[in-house]
Amino acid sequence: MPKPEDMLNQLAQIGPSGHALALQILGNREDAADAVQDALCTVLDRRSFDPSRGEFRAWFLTIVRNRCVDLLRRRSRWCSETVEAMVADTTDPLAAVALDEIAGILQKELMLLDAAQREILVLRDYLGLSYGEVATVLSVPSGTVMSRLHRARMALSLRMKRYDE
Amino acid sequence: MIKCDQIDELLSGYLDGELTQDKRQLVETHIDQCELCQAAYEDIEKIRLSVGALSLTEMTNEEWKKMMNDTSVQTSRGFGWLAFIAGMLVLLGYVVYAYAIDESVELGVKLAALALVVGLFGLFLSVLRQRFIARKTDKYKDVEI
Repeated sequence: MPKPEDMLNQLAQIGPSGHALALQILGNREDAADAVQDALCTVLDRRSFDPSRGEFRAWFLTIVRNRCVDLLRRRSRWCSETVEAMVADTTDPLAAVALDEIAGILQKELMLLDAAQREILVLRDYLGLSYGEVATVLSVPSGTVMSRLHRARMALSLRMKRYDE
Repeated sequence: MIKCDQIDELLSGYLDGELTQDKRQLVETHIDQCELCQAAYEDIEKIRLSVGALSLTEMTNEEWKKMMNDTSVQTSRGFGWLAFIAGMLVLLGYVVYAYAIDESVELGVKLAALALVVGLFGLFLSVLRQRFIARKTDKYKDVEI
């Protein structure tokens, strides 16, 4: 069993990762902050981590993801509605400038993928989790990760090719 | 030579170093000879690099640590539970009283209801006792981040 100091030190390092994941799933800053705060409360309530569950980061991200799914279910607006609203809402000049840049375009196109594709891309390509950890967070068999990830990468790549022309 | 559709998702596994040696060699051999799969591999490699370089959160480490140390986060649930339990006890007391003085209900039913209430209260006390013991021996409570 890891020492409590170790657990909290690890938690201190991975909060922004949780926020990035929540933001991509929920597509809304306030909801993402709520989900991460809820996950934090859960971790602080339990105050223990069983290493047999895998890496601490994967465990924390699983809690964040579950909170996100709960929020989406409760608000009955899985994926497209919030994401499209968010993308359409980038009306301030600074955001518009950012969207002109490749990173901005990529971020916008990422948000237009479906939620399952966004979350797997964030977990693997942004946060660098192994396939085993991704499987833990998504609660899917590890064999599913590779095919789902590949489809997500190809989908994003296809979207980005439109800007090459 | 193995067909392109058999390689497909293995390209991602190859890129991420998640294949067995056999499959890795299979992919290597194939993309050396197939321009289409070579291009697909380069596409997903570019996507992985680009997504990895994005900045997808606006939360800094400092903001997160502040959230972690914010005692209101940790105490808000406690307060919520306290208010909930207090409200439940008052309501329960009123219902029990109203039920006890209601002459239209038979004594047997009243006794059964009483047993139910006493049982629930006993369970509540045992959970409360467990929580109290856990809090007293909580080795995490003084840990600062």
